[in-house]
Amino acid sequence: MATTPPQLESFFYAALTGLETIRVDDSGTVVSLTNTTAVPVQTGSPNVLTGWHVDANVSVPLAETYTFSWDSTNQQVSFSATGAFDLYLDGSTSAAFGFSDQYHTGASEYTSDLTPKAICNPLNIDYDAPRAAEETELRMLRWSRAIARKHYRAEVTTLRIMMTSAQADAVLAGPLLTSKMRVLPTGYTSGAYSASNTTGYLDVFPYGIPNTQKIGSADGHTMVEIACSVVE
Amino acid sequence: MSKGLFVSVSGWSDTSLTVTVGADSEAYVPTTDKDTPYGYMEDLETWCNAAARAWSGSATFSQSLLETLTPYLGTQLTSSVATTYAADSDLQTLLGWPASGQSATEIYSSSGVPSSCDGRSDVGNWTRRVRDVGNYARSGSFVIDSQYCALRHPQIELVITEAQAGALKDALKNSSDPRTAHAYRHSTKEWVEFSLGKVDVTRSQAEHYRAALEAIG
Repeated sequence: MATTPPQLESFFYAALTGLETIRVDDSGTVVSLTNTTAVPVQTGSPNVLTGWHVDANVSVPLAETYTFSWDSTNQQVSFSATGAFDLYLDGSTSAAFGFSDQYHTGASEYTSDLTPKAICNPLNIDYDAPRAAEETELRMLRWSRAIARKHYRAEVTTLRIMMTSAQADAVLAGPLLTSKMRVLPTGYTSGAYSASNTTGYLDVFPYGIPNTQKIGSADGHTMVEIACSVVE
Repeated sequence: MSKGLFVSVSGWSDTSLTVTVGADSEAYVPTTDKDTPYGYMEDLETWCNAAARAWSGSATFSQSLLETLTPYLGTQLTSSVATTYAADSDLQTLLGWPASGQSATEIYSSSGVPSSCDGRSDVGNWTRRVRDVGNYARSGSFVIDSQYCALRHPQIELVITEAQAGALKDALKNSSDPRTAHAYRHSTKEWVEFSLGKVDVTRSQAEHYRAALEAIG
């Protein structure tokens, strides 16, 4: 079965000003495309890129047909249409998608020229099987009977990621580590993680980086451990 | 070789299993609300074979383990004569049983028991230990505690795969409070019950984990 390359992608929130809206114009009327929920950049339905181009394609002032996508081979976000259009990447969306300029005009396709901060395909992602993080109290009562009280807190896991140092510099400083993210491990085919799909995607909240290490020629690769709680 | 672990859950007293042998029909409703699936099956077998049952003397029942539903375990109840079973929805959820038996004599898990894990289990140090010494004099002596009442402090571990780690995580997350567990002890071919504290899951190889259970029995 075909597998998707390992991938990290940020969740974009409707309430997070600066990442929820982009604008396009192909007919003299600028149309705002706004994400109204919390979704990842590309994987699953709905997602940010698909949501925006679906809105663009039903928008009456816009005449062209739009496709917004992530190119995992070239590590670029692509905003394209059937004809020339203007693209406005407002707020932090330009940095999130790896564009050095916020405003683009005159072409039918625009692609990232920098390393994106909101999505990337590391060389390898592995996660520990999520485990129950619990506090327990094991008490012994009279006549030597024992009881054990458990206080369930969350599921936790550790990601172990090998990526290029360029990706690490973008990822470790960007939106990916400040909020919820979707993790597609090495060997991912489809669906969410479960006991019957142990290479499924995980939605996690990172809470710490216990270990990073630069390795390889000219420190070109970085290994990162990220401690996360799992969204349930 | 594997066997594994059952963890206690709540809700057994909300379940009902109606057993019908010929013209005799009775319903089993446990009085214990927090129990492991293995504990429930033992009590169910005892109830089915009790002298008070209308079919006593003409039918015998036995419970057994299913080990084909990895990463979970399954349970089965079998009768010596034609029997119909009706499991309510709560029991179906807790044991993975269908609403009625799959054959003329048996009902068994068609999907894994949610509060179980079929990882390779083993139990060590399953002995009662009085840790302190008592006092003695020329006239006699006394022990500090009763060996018969002393607790066991066993060492219980599971070696588990990725899938079994997922099953174990779900079993712990949904366990009752307080909680107990049954683990299989290979040396004596028996299931042992204990109070279950913390469970440490650590990676031992690329695709295997070791779960160390804090237990007192």
